[in-house]
Amino acid sequence: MAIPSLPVACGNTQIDLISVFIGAGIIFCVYLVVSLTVNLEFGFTGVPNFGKVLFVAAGGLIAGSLSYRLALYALNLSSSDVIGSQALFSNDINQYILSHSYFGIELFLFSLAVGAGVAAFVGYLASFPAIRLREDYLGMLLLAAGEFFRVFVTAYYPITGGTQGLLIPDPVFWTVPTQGLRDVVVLVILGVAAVGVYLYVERVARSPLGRMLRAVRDNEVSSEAIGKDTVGIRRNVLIIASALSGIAGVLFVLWSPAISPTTFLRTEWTFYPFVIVILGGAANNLGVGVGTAAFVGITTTIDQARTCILANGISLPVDINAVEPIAIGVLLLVVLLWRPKGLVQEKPTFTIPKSRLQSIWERANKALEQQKAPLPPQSTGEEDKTNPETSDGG
Amino acid sequence: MRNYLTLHGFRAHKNGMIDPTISNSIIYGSLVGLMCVGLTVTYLTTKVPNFAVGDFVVVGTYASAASFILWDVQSPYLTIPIGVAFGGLSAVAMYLIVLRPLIRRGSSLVVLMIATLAVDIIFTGIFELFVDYMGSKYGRILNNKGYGGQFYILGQLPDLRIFGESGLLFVAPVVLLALAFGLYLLLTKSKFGVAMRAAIENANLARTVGINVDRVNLVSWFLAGGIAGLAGGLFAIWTATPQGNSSLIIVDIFAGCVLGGLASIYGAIIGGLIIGAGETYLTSALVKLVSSMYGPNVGAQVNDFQKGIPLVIMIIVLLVAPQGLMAVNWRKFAKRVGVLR
Repeated sequence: MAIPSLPVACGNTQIDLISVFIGAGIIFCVYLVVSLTVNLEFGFTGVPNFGKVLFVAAGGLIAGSLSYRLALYALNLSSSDVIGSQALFSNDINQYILSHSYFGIELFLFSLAVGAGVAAFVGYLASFPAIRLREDYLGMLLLAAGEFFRVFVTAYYPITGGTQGLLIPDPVFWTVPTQGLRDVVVLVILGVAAVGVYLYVERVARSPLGRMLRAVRDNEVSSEAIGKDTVGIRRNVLIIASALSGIAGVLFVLWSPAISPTTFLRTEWTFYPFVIVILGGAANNLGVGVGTAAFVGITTTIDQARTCILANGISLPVDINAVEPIAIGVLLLVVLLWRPKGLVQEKPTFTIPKSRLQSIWERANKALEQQKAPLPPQSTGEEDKTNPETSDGG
Repeated sequence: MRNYLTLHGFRAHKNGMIDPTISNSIIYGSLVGLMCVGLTVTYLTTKVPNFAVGDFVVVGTYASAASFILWDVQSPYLTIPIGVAFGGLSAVAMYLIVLRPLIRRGSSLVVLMIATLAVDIIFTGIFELFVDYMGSKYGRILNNKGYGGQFYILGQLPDLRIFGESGLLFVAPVVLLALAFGLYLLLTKSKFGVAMRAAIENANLARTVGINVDRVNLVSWFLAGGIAGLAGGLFAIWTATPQGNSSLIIVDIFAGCVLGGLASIYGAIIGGLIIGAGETYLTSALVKLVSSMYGPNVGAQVNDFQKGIPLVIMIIVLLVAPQGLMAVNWRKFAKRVGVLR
């Protein structure tokens, strides 16, 4: 079995469109999950989590590091400096996964659970000082905490060996013998996870819980007046969104299993998800999907243009790596200034399907007309049936 | 052309009579005090926590250091006004291009915060381009250089010597005090300062009595950016400038402002002083303590965690006195503790 390729000429080099699309799909899935959590917090509940990178990185880095240690334990590998001997050990683990694919899957499930758990715990800790605060204080605290976590991981040797980085076991190493299969398998796993998270967040948004979140966002005082525990609700949302962010970190690490403190930076994991949510439209999961697609389209185009330019030996006056964040930042400002509601605007959601609402509406109208018309004496039995519907639907 | 990338001696204030820990605490405390004033002034006038305040500091550093190196002037202190001007102008540009249109549109606080975050990201990219350009055009001035896991843009610039001590030990606190006094004069004695306070208290009421609130905002943004740029210029003289400095110092700035309460300029000065000096002093005290317990190798690692200190202080302040130091009723507190009766 071989993965097809679709090469496109670009100067004197070639770009394989299929692998570009697969790579873009993987990035799309990871960013969709992170942006949906931002949407859950900021769009629906009004909790601006400017420390998103903290939760994504806590999930990705700590779960990755622990899965490496678990694999060492399972395979009876030991050394006085497990980080220092990572090149040897990672190779051993990956060779074992090559012949025992179930072990890789177990490792992945383990890191998913650990990532979600660690990130949820960090979210729980962060909620103590943070959740009672106004938006500005909350933003400052979480942003500072995210910056500190990066400094902490850089300085604390056991997680990733400081700046040295850590090669963690690749749970899908059994796909490596077939050229190009690995990315397809990763895309499938990430796609399933992203669809699952999307359905979950969409269900939350359409449920009475979602209405309550919007009520807390739009008017905290009045939702407290009708007996809602706003602090508790915001804390729970922060914890759930953090757990999902941790899962996103694990998913990203599944794709590129070499972790270092610079794997998760504020620009890419706090700022870009906010760009996506603003671009697509806050409090609107479909909009977040559209925003993610647009964002990934833009960044992939820039990336491929860079590859093409570098391969052809053209020297640019500026470093294109620095241009990308500038371009995304300007894009965000343009959206904020000229289309502040995003591409897809927030709409009132129907909690029951629209078709059913419509049928109730029609029956109610029919019943009203029957009431207005002079009643034929034999149709009283029918009217008794429709009357309760009238009061429900109307 | 002199080469300031040779990273001889970080915090090289070792020859004087005063303990270097103390002098570094005083200097960094004063610098963070200045930066906190920069954030608080903009917060007071536009009610937005400006995530790009660290970038004004870095603008000040780059503008003053680059002009010092390129023009070969006598002392880096002479080019600090250039840093002030560039910091102020970039703040004004940010206000005019980004914030004023958004505020006029009636955007929510969170949207304004995201906009300042975008400005921060844009500045970071521009710094990278600038450093690249300077590196490729003028050789080894302002370039990335690794040193012990951290990358540095610029080595420490030469300082004056006053009484055998580094000049910054006197210059930084004097500048901070002068600034506090100058702002006091501006805000209480001048007509414009009174207008400024009125605009801060109630912008709509100020407009009805004929105060040009927009001009007040412009001036206060220029002041804020200029003060941050001043701190940046002094920072380059104090120590080597690390890559991505704006995201490192922003932890200190936020902690200092939260400690000061984000409600008054004097609170910001006090909060910044406490955070900057406390961070430097506690770090070196902890290094000494851990070194005596586990040996110098372990002790030196404590340095890497020093940004945890402002974060912990900030969390404690938010839990205990979320309005900051200036809002605490100290008389009542002293009575409860038993100092006063």
